[in-house]
Amino acid sequence: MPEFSAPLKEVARMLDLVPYLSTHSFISLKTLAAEFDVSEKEMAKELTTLSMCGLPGYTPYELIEVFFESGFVTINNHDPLDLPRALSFTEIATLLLGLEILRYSLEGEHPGVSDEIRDLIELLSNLSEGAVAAESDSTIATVAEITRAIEKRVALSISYHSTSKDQVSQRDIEPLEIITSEGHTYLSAYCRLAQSFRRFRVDRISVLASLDSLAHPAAHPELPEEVVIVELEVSGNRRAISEELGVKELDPSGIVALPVFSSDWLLRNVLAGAPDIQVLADQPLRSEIGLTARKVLALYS
Amino acid sequence: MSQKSERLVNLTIALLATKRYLTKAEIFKTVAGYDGEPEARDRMFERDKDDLRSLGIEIELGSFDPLFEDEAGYRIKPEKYSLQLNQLSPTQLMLLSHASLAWKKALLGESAHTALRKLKALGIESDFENLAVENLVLPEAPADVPIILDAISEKRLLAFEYYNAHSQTQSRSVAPYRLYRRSGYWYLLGLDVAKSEIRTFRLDRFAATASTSGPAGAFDVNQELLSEHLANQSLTSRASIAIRKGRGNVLRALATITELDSDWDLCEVSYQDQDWLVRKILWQCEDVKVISPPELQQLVISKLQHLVALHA
Repeated sequence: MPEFSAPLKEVARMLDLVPYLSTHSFISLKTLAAEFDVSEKEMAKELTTLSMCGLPGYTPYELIEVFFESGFVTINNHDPLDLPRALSFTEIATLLLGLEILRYSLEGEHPGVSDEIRDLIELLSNLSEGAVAAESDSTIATVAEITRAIEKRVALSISYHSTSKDQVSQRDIEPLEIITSEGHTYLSAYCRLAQSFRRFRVDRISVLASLDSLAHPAAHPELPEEVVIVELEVSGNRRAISEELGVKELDPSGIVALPVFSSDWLLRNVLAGAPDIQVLADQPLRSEIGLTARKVLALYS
Repeated sequence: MSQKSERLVNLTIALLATKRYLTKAEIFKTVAGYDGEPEARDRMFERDKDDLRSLGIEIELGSFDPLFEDEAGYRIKPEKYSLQLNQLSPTQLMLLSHASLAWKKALLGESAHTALRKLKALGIESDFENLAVENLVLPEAPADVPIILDAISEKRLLAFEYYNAHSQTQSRSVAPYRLYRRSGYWYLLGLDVAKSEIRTFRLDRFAATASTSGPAGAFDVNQELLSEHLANQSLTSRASIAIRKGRGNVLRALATITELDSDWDLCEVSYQDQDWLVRKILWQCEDVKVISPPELQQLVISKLQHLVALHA
């Protein structure tokens, strides 16, 4: 928001007050002040100023009439300012992005309104000349569904796509908490299949069904996992690779000591980023990478 | 100083009510608050015009008769001044109310509040209670979002530090055209001033918060470059790849699939970003093989050969 000076904020408020009052007769000063985010005293002062404004001539016939009656406000003779002011670009953008969130949050819950939301989005997009857009973010819908399940304390049946194993599995989970870390959203949950606490990337979850209510409030131990530190050298498109590997700040030398939970995950990342990631010291892992790459090459011979 | 706000409201009313352009002399004579020496009045009026413009109120300069060299006059066109959405149904108003509440207390909360107030002033009954919306989940919006929105709206240049492909920070100066969210990321599209090219920037790759620089109205959107850029972006190529049965779920989701033999399926994938596709293919190791186009196959092979050499 651009910060306007005090008189300009006053002007904006007064211009918005007139149409608001014209459709909200006998509104209490208190409600009005709250709606416009000012004190009652400030509101009374602005209403007084308004009553001195009007069409050139400024006789009683041309002035805006503001009546205070035992704490209630009415306005008359407000012709030229009748209509609410146009939405600013930022206001349009805010509504547009909000509608997009609403659309995904309501997905599946209120199927009837999604067409209405789509129409409104199109309307506002045209007003912003296409300069703001939000699209395809299924994560929002999934997070909304999981949040509801956490609040209602029910278990969920999900399908989960593990990219490192390239497997889709179906499992029942007891959702605990949504966590955001390194730009990704995770669900921490008790997995009935694995019989332990697990963390799932939300963008790889599809919720299949809500299950029974949860009997016991699950405790929340972090799973002990075996971490191996692997030394790598990153070259080429360093930014893309550090984002994939979750490395925050890359040393100019390109050398990283990376904590690795799954060697399969690292192997696939090294192949996907080929040839920009080199595993340095770990001899067994180096041979495994060489071997896997040769096996893939064999597909082409 | 309520004198100034009073004068600005009166000026707005006078310029909105007039059906013809009012000359400066007429304004000074009729609109309350323009006192003092001619020079001081002139300066006052210029400032007032700028102030109203900054509130989004457009004052139009024109003359009564284009054939005569009349003195130019001013007016505010009601259709430009007033709310663009005046035909809202109760349901639409309800949805917009919920949409604005999504930002309660968040980054864009103030704009959401003022937008909603303007909509409420239409006096349409909203069936707000009819839709129970719990727990709207706000995507994380970087602090740059409101700054970028202002810059787009006021056509100001943006300056920011950006991580390039080599993870080094570079200073960029960009004429901002568009802000969008896609697959969970926020993007800025604009004209990179130094390169004179349209570029997209991911907001999470900003090294520090962006700031506006220079005056408002610093650029016009280069429509020619923009449509060229958008056309290029939507250019898609097609690849045929073989995927082992039961594997490669990410790629399968994007492909049309036919059976090749008892072990392999043939998948046709459309793609825009070759690097992205190559990553997805190599991630699958022995479960995916490129069949065509030959350039793509050759690229995958040479990357793998390189990798083998590195790990020999």
